[in-house]
Amino acid sequence: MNGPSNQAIKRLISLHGWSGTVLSIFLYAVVLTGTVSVLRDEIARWSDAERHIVHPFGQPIYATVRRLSDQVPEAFRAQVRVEHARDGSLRVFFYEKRKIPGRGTQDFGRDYLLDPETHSILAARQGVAPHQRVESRAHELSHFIVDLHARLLIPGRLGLYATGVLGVFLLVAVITGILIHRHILRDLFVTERPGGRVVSLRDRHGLASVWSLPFSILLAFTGTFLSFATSLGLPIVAMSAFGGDIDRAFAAVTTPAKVENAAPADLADLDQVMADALRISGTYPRLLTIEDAGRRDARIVTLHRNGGNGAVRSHTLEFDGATGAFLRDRPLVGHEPSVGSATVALMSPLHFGDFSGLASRAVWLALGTVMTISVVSGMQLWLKRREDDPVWRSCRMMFAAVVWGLPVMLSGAAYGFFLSILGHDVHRGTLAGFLVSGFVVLVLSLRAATPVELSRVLRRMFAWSVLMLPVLRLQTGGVSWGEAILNNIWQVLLIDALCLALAVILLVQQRVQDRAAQNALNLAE
Amino acid sequence: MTEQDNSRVDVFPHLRLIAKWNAHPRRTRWISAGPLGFVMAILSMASLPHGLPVGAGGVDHLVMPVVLFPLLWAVLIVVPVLPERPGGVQAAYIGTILVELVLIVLGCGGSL
Amino acid sequence: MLALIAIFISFGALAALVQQDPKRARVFRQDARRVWLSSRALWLLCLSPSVILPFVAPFAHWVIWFGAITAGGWGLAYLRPGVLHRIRSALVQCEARMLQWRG
Repeated sequence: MNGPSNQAIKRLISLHGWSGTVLSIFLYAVVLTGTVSVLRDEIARWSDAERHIVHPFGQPIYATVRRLSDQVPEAFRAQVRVEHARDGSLRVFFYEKRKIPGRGTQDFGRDYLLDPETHSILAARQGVAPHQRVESRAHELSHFIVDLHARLLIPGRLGLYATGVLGVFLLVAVITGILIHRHILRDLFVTERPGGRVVSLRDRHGLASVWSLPFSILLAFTGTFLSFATSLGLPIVAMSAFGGDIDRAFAAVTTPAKVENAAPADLADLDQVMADALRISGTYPRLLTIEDAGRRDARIVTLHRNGGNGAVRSHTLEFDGATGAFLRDRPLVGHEPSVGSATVALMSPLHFGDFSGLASRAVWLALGTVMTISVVSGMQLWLKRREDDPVWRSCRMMFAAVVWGLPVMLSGAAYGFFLSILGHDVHRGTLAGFLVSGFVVLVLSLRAATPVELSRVLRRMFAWSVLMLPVLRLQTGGVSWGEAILNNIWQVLLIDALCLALAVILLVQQRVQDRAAQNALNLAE
Repeated sequence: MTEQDNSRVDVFPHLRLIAKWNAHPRRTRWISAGPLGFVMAILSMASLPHGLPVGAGGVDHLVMPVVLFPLLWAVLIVVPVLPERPGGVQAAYIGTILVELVLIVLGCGGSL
Repeated sequence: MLALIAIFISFGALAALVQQDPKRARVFRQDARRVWLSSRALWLLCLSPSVILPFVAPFAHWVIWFGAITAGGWGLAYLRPGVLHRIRSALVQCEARMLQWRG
């Protein structure tokens, strides 16, 4: 089969370059923070000063849910959501579907945050979801990184549109890259040639891009779906197929049909249901929902983290709400398993890479790193080819500022978090740390004479800041290595080790480069 | 254009339009890959629920257009770049948009 | 465990493919490399887990294997020829300096 013509290849190269370049800074931000987000649970546990954490679903919850149910207004008792909150607490939300003027039907009710061990109430708030949520301080850092990845910190739907568009541009770059690169297999093992020439950068970009190709497609595709599904897809499908009724569209997709039976009935033993769910799926659920509590047709649904028993897709187990009998493995969408439900069920686990514990996350971390190198080397190649163009030459400084500046800013966010955990607003503290370090990067960029010098300074700054992070963590009440070993908090050891290893690698690399540059200078003299 | 071309255009006047689009290939590519491609992708999400089978779970026709939207949009951006004369691609895009609009109108009319 | 074995087998095959790749040898001006097995045989060995794993292990193991060999394949290819030799030279130099310092 003949490939594209030479003229078409030239146009494809142009499209490939421009689609990657125009939004490259934001694409780099999304890919880098996505790579870091793979370890969001580990970062959350690392940044949490709690020595002893109990899994909220490892304790009996039935008595607590009944006690709280008696306290809330009757209108809120039919729908209940019990979840493993991000900070390890138990969250119980009693709610009803209420029409809010200007906002359609929303979940309105009372939210409780409970201590996972004693079930004492830590906080409670009433309101419209999700604003009724009481967030815990301890996991703000991982929330911040994930929010930066998923929405670029842009609030509301705009943030999701932004990351969705980036995902589409990444897909365009991948498709055009495949069409352009005629000798994919022949160049599969050709690494970067020395010399820092255009051909060297082409080798670097080609190698990283080709090897990360399947996962670039996968992550761009699943990421764009996750961005657009509810922010754009659902409203459009609702407009077209349900006369604009988003609630009806959402219910049609997510709520399976059932035989109504409004006869009163006590709620089944949630602890027994939890034990059965753990036995069937192999993991504790992330979320337990009770639909139509107090009726004979009540349902208890447990949504499990991915993994468990070697499955990729998540399990959603449905139990009879009155008897506690296991009914079926409910598809994520639709009434019965289908191509659509299977596809949707795979989107999250294949994007987050959390379907098989640390093994899958380690692989996703490695692949995210290769993708980041692919994006950065693509920009380096683009700028190297346009060295003589004054406009693009000035972009080199901006590019150098972003490539190492963003890691510095992420490190700054961590510093802001740890410094504010002692008593201040951690959300503001984390954001302040991010912005202040961004300002520092800006000042350094304006003062730097060349992009190479700027890269050098920022890389060193990042290496030293990451090297001191475990020290700061410890000094602000964090878990020591001894306590981590005694309490099996391996996440502390892992992230600290990664910080130290990264810092050492960068500093040694810098030293080797400086020495090589010095030797070259001596030879020239 | 030759006499033969002129007689073909008399029978198929849309060919004159395509020829006009081919006279400015860059502009045609930008329009096709840009706004036309985006509109076509969005309308496919709106129209395919009225054409796809519902599947075993009763939701495939709603869910699959949303799943395929990003890939479809990306492909629609790339396709106009390939041929030397993109006028036909633009015509195909416009034709497909019209078909999608008809599907939406018929589908909405049926559900009302 | 099965995924680990599959990754190990595929990595071995990839390492051999990297070592005997003719274009890589040409680009880095290396002498003709010893050919352990033909490229076709090595590729078959490398990709054989993709056919076997789905029958003997859950889908998650196949996904992990595939991810590991793409990331690891890049890592193997990224290392320049002679990197092990250079690492060994650097370690020897380090040792010599330490002995010198100790006096």
